[in-house]
Amino acid sequence: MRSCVITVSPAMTDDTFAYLVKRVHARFGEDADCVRVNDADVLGGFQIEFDGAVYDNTVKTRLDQARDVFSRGGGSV
Amino acid sequence: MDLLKPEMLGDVIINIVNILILFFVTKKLLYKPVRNYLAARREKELAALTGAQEAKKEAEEAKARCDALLADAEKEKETLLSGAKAEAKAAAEALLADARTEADEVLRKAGENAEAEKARVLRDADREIGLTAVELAGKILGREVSDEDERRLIDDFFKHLGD
Repeated sequence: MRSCVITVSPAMTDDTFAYLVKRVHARFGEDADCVRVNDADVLGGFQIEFDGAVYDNTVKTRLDQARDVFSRGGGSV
Repeated sequence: MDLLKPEMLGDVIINIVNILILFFVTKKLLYKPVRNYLAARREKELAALTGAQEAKKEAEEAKARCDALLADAEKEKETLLSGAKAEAKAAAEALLADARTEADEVLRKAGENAEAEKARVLRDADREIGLTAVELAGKILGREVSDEDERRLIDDFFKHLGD
Protein backbone atom coordinates (compact mmCIF):
# COMPACT_ATOMS: atom_id res chain seq x y z
CA MET A 1 0.00 0.00 0.00
CA ARG A 2 1.18 3.49 -0.79
CA SER A 3 0.14 6.43 1.31
CA CYS A 4 -1.99 9.10 -0.35
CA VAL A 5 -2.91 12.16 1.73
CA ILE A 6 -5.88 14.14 0.38
CA THR A 7 -6.52 17.54 1.93
CA VAL A 8 -10.03 18.90 1.39
CA SER A 9 -12.47 21.39 2.85
CA PRO A 10 -14.46 20.18 5.86
CA ALA A 11 -17.55 21.08 3.88
CA MET A 12 -16.89 18.39 1.27
CA THR A 13 -19.46 15.62 1.63
CA ASP A 14 -18.46 12.01 2.13
CA ASP A 15 -20.00 11.10 -1.21
CA THR A 16 -17.90 13.63 -3.02
CA PHE A 17 -14.78 12.49 -1.15
CA ALA A 18 -15.59 8.90 -2.10
CA TYR A 19 -15.90 10.02 -5.73
CA LEU A 20 -12.49 11.66 -5.44
CA VAL A 21 -10.93 8.52 -3.95
CA LYS A 22 -12.40 6.49 -6.77
CA ARG A 23 -10.79 8.79 -9.32
CA VAL A 24 -7.48 8.61 -7.42
CA HIS A 25 -7.51 4.85 -7.48
CA ALA A 26 -8.31 4.87 -11.14
CA ARG A 27 -5.42 7.18 -11.81
CA PHE A 28 -2.72 6.08 -9.40
CA GLY A 29 -3.74 2.48 -8.64
CA GLU A 30 -5.85 0.61 -6.16
CA ASP A 31 -2.94 0.33 -3.73
CA ALA A 32 -3.14 4.05 -2.96
CA ASP A 33 -4.12 4.27 0.71
CA CYS A 34 -6.14 7.48 0.77
CA VAL A 35 -6.33 9.45 4.00
CA ARG A 36 -8.61 12.47 4.33
CA VAL A 37 -7.29 15.64 5.98
CA ASN A 38 -9.76 18.48 6.56
CA ASP A 39 -8.50 22.05 6.22
CA ALA A 40 -10.97 24.93 6.09
CA ASP A 41 -8.33 27.20 4.48
CA VAL A 42 -8.46 25.31 1.17
CA LEU A 43 -12.01 26.67 0.65
CA GLY A 44 -12.75 24.02 -1.98
CA GLY A 45 -11.07 21.53 -4.25
CA PHE A 46 -8.32 19.23 -2.99
CA GLN A 47 -4.60 18.62 -2.61
CA ILE A 48 -3.13 15.16 -3.18
CA GLU A 49 0.25 14.11 -1.80
CA PHE A 50 1.28 10.83 -3.39
CA ASP A 51 4.63 9.17 -4.11
CA GLY A 52 6.52 12.33 -3.16
CA ALA A 53 4.47 14.49 -5.54
CA VAL A 54 1.95 17.15 -4.58
CA TYR A 55 -1.05 17.85 -6.81
CA ASP A 56 -2.65 21.07 -5.66
CA ASN A 57 -6.12 21.77 -7.03
CA THR A 58 -7.51 23.82 -4.17
CA VAL A 59 -9.58 26.96 -4.52
CA LYS A 60 -7.22 28.64 -2.08
CA THR A 61 -4.23 28.05 -4.38
CA ARG A 62 -6.13 29.34 -7.39
CA LEU A 63 -7.11 32.45 -5.49
CA ASP A 64 -3.50 32.90 -4.35
CA GLN A 65 -2.36 32.64 -7.96
CA ALA A 66 -4.95 35.19 -9.01
CA ARG A 67 -3.91 37.47 -6.16
CA ASP A 68 -0.26 37.18 -7.24
CA VAL A 69 -1.15 38.07 -10.81
CA PHE A 70 -3.08 41.17 -9.72
CA SER A 71 -0.37 42.14 -7.23
CA ARG A 72 2.23 42.08 -10.04
CA GLY A 73 -0.02 44.38 -12.06
CA GLY A 74 -1.38 41.83 -14.49
CA GLY A 75 -4.78 42.48 -15.96
CA SER A 76 -5.98 38.93 -16.32
CA VAL A 77 -5.67 35.64 -14.44
CA MET B 1 47.31 181.64 -99.90
CA ASP B 2 46.71 184.82 -98.09
CA LEU B 3 46.12 182.90 -94.94
CA LEU B 4 49.42 181.02 -95.14
CA LYS B 5 51.95 183.72 -94.90
CA PRO B 6 55.58 182.87 -95.54
CA GLU B 7 56.62 183.61 -92.01
CA MET B 8 54.02 181.16 -90.76
CA LEU B 9 55.21 178.32 -93.01
CA GLY B 10 58.20 177.65 -90.80
CA ASP B 11 55.94 177.36 -87.78
CA VAL B 12 53.69 174.99 -89.62
CA ILE B 13 56.57 172.80 -90.59
CA ILE B 14 57.93 172.89 -87.08
CA ASN B 15 54.50 171.94 -85.76
CA ILE B 16 54.22 169.09 -88.23
CA VAL B 17 57.68 167.90 -87.25
CA ASN B 18 56.68 168.14 -83.58
CA ILE B 19 53.55 166.20 -84.20
CA LEU B 20 55.47 163.52 -86.03
CA ILE B 21 58.06 163.38 -83.26
CA LEU B 22 55.30 163.23 -80.69
CA PHE B 23 53.63 160.48 -82.66
CA PHE B 24 56.74 158.35 -82.87
CA VAL B 25 57.70 158.97 -79.26
CA THR B 26 54.20 158.19 -78.12
CA LYS B 27 54.11 155.09 -80.27
CA LYS B 28 57.46 154.03 -78.96
CA LEU B 29 56.87 154.80 -75.33
CA LEU B 30 53.14 154.16 -74.88
CA TYR B 31 51.61 152.12 -77.68
CA LYS B 32 53.92 149.07 -77.46
CA PRO B 33 53.79 148.74 -73.65
CA VAL B 34 50.06 149.15 -73.68
CA ARG B 35 49.73 146.61 -76.47
CA ASN B 36 52.08 144.25 -74.68
CA TYR B 37 50.18 144.82 -71.47
CA LEU B 38 46.87 144.12 -73.19
CA ALA B 39 48.29 141.04 -74.90
CA ALA B 40 49.66 139.76 -71.62
CA ARG B 41 46.40 140.51 -69.93
CA ARG B 42 44.48 138.68 -72.66
CA GLU B 43 46.79 135.70 -72.34
CA LYS B 44 46.39 135.80 -68.59
CA GLU B 45 42.65 135.96 -68.96
CA LEU B 46 42.74 133.12 -71.47
CA ALA B 47 44.91 131.13 -69.09
CA ALA B 48 42.56 131.93 -66.24
CA LEU B 49 39.63 130.97 -68.38
CA THR B 50 41.29 127.75 -69.44
CA GLY B 51 42.19 127.06 -65.84
CA ALA B 52 38.65 127.79 -64.78
CA GLN B 53 37.32 125.49 -67.46
CA GLU B 54 39.73 122.77 -66.43
CA ALA B 55 38.83 123.34 -62.82
CA LYS B 56 35.18 123.17 -63.75
CA LYS B 57 35.80 120.01 -65.72
CA GLU B 58 37.75 118.53 -62.83
CA ALA B 59 35.02 119.58 -60.46
CA GLU B 60 32.43 117.95 -62.69
CA GLU B 61 34.56 114.81 -62.90
CA ALA B 62 34.99 114.86 -59.15
CA LYS B 63 31.26 115.33 -58.76
CA ALA B 64 30.66 112.42 -61.12
CA ARG B 65 33.10 110.29 -59.14
CA CYS B 66 31.40 111.36 -55.93
CA ASP B 67 28.01 110.53 -57.43
CA ALA B 68 29.32 107.15 -58.51
CA LEU B 69 30.79 106.58 -55.07
CA LEU B 70 27.51 107.63 -53.50
CA ALA B 71 25.60 105.33 -55.82
CA ASP B 72 27.97 102.47 -54.99
CA ALA B 73 27.64 103.26 -51.30
CA GLU B 74 23.86 103.36 -51.64
CA LYS B 75 23.91 100.08 -53.52
CA GLU B 76 26.21 98.54 -50.92
CA LYS B 77 24.00 99.88 -48.17
CA GLU B 78 20.96 98.32 -49.82
CA THR B 79 22.88 95.07 -50.27
CA LEU B 80 24.00 95.11 -46.65
CA LEU B 81 20.52 96.02 -45.47
CA SER B 82 18.89 93.33 -47.56
CA GLY B 83 21.54 90.86 -46.41
CA ALA B 84 21.05 91.89 -42.81
CA LYS B 85 17.29 91.65 -43.25
CA ALA B 86 17.64 88.19 -44.79
CA GLU B 87 19.98 87.09 -42.01
CA ALA B 88 17.67 88.51 -39.36
CA LYS B 89 14.69 86.82 -41.02
CA ALA B 90 16.56 83.52 -41.23
CA ALA B 91 17.64 83.84 -37.62
CA ALA B 92 14.09 84.65 -36.56
CA GLU B 93 12.74 81.72 -38.54
CA ALA B 94 15.37 79.44 -37.03
CA LEU B 95 14.45 80.65 -33.57
CA LEU B 96 10.78 80.17 -34.34
CA ALA B 97 11.43 76.69 -35.69
CA ASP B 98 13.47 75.82 -32.60
CA ALA B 99 10.72 77.17 -30.37
CA ARG B 100 8.10 75.16 -32.29
CA THR B 101 10.24 72.03 -32.07
CA GLU B 102 10.78 72.54 -28.36
CA ALA B 103 7.09 73.20 -27.80
CA ASP B 104 6.19 70.08 -29.77
CA GLU B 105 8.69 68.08 -27.73
CA VAL B 106 7.27 69.45 -24.49
CA LEU B 107 3.74 68.64 -25.66
CA ARG B 108 4.80 65.18 -26.81
CA LYS B 109 6.50 64.45 -23.48
CA ALA B 110 3.54 65.85 -21.60
CA GLY B 111 1.25 63.63 -23.66
CA GLU B 112 3.47 60.62 -23.04
CA ASN B 113 3.62 61.40 -19.34
CA ALA B 114 -0.14 61.82 -19.23
CA GLU B 115 -0.62 58.53 -21.09
CA ALA B 116 1.87 56.79 -18.80
CA GLU B 117 0.16 58.23 -15.74
CA LYS B 118 -3.23 57.23 -17.11
CA ALA B 119 -1.96 53.71 -17.80
CA ARG B 120 -0.42 53.52 -14.33
CA VAL B 121 -3.64 54.68 -12.71
CA LEU B 122 -5.60 52.15 -14.76
CA ARG B 123 -3.15 49.39 -13.83
CA ASP B 124 -3.40 50.35 -10.18
CA ALA B 125 -7.17 50.38 -10.45
CA ASP B 126 -7.13 47.01 -12.22
CA ARG B 127 -4.91 45.58 -9.52
CA GLU B 128 -7.03 46.95 -6.71
CA ILE B 129 -10.21 45.77 -8.39
CA GLY B 130 -8.68 42.36 -9.07
CA LEU B 131 -7.39 41.96 -5.53
CA THR B 132 -10.74 43.06 -4.13
CA ALA B 133 -12.49 40.62 -6.45
CA VAL B 134 -10.16 37.85 -5.29
CA GLU B 135 -10.84 38.64 -1.65
CA LEU B 136 -14.58 38.72 -2.27
CA ALA B 137 -14.39 35.50 -4.25
CA GLY B 138 -12.48 33.86 -1.39
CA LYS B 139 -15.10 34.91 1.13
CA ILE B 140 -17.98 33.77 -1.09
CA LEU B 141 -16.32 30.49 -2.05
CA GLY B 142 -15.55 29.76 1.61
CA ARG B 143 -19.28 29.63 2.18
CA GLU B 144 -20.67 28.51 -1.14
CA VAL B 145 -18.53 25.80 -2.79
CA SER B 146 -21.16 23.18 -3.56
CA ASP B 147 -20.81 19.46 -4.12
CA GLU B 148 -21.32 20.04 -7.80
CA ASP B 149 -18.45 22.53 -7.77
CA GLU B 150 -16.25 20.03 -5.98
CA ARG B 151 -17.04 17.26 -8.47
CA ARG B 152 -16.38 19.62 -11.36
CA LEU B 153 -12.98 20.47 -9.83
CA ILE B 154 -12.23 16.75 -9.50
CA ASP B 155 -13.28 15.99 -13.06
CA ASP B 156 -11.32 18.92 -14.48
CA PHE B 157 -8.20 17.90 -12.57
CA PHE B 158 -8.21 14.29 -13.77
CA LYS B 159 -9.16 15.34 -17.25
CA HIS B 160 -5.99 17.49 -17.30
CA LEU B 161 -3.99 14.50 -16.09
CA GLY B 162 -5.23 12.59 -19.11
CA ASP B 163 -7.95 10.38 -17.68
